[in-house]
Amino acid sequence: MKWLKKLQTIDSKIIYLVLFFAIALPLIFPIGIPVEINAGTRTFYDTIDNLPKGSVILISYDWDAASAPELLPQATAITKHALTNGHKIVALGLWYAGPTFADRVHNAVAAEVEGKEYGVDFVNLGYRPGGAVVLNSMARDFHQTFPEDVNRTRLSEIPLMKEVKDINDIDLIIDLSAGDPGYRAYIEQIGSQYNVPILVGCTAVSVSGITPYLQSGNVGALLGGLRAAAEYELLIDTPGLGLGGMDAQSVAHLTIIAFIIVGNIAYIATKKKK
Amino acid sequence: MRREVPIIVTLIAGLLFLLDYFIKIPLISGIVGEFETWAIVISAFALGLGAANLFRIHLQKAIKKSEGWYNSVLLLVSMVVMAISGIGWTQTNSIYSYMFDNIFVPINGTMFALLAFYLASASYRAFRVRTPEATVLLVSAVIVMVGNAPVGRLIWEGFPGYSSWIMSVFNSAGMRGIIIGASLGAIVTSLRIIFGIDRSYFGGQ
Repeated sequence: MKWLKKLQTIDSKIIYLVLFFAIALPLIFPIGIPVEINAGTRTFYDTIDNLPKGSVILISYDWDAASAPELLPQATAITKHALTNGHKIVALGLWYAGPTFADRVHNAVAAEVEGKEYGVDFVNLGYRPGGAVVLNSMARDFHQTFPEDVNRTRLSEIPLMKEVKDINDIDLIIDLSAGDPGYRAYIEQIGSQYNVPILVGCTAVSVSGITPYLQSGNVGALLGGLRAAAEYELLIDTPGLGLGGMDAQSVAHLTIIAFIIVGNIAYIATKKKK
Repeated sequence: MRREVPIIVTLIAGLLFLLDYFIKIPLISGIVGEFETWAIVISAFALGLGAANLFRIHLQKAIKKSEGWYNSVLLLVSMVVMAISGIGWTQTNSIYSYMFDNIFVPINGTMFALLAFYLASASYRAFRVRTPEATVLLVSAVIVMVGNAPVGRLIWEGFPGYSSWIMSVFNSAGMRGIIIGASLGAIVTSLRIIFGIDRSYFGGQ
């Protein structure tokens, strides 16, 4: 049968076109598929929620624009939650683009949470090359590793950084990671040497690599991909980019599965005929 | 001496770092801290060297008007403007921000987004029930994909649970094996470098 063979070899361009509409249409016309909150996201949220007011959270922006659709909503939701709860944030990046995204998140969230001031409630230390070495060095001395923040202000002149000298002054580390250097560097260089809990937010494709660290307790909780961002937005009651993308993700997944099923039905039917 | 000195420096640095990782002795921690500062400076120089090399290659292409020379000119202009605006006036200045938001983010994002389209096409072609192993892979992939999307629960309550079971049991066991294997390899390679058995880092002499 000709059509059975055709179903097995659908042109890539047709698949791309169908997928394009599967992603674009739910973004333009939201369906509103309900999102259930995962236990992992709940643990992540509770960890920040249970910190005493005024705790210092280090957020590491280890990603670039390629992962922004998944990690930017996570970063925004976490930052909003932390600042609303009265915690202080020290942001930095092991990836060159990280601090610019931190700047975007800080500007967006500071406008929503009243009375939050740069230098007092949050600070952006910028990017340092060197990967894991930066973490080891920073753990000993923040001021030596990052003499200035992203705006070229001396750390000694920033009120928040007067309280933060080394890793013992940090209450929680959140690594938003899209690869290397990222969560593994934090686990190896800080988690294994110092008593600071580490939480990880990552892209959906990285979840499988982090799961063993989560099970062993090296990572306290994990936010995986856009779905976790959407769940977090629900928890803090601030719908954003995460929830907005959930319908598109659902429809895109179903479309890919539909193609796989069609291909297999055609394959089995052709095989039986032979 | 050209061979001995790097080996001795590597041996001393390696042993100091190893010792400091497990036992915190203030004197050794101080020395290791200095080494780390040097390492950060060297990393910054390495980045600069990479940029200089890229600049040299594309400048040559532009001068010689090789094929696609205009792309090289575009790269050089973008590189210079981004570098001057970012390094000269910090990453928060308006020129850097404009280029970051309107050029870098869309281009970088598009590169990764295209993967989704390739992935859809590749999974349609690759996931066929040709063998029992391929069938297991196909069924697992479908369960994980449906289970991870919010629509999964609407289709069947069991999807999220089975998806999480596959990820936390089978995937985790496989990943743990890979991580342990890679780590053992890294330990052995590190020891070989520290003790001067592996000398590939200075030209394989």
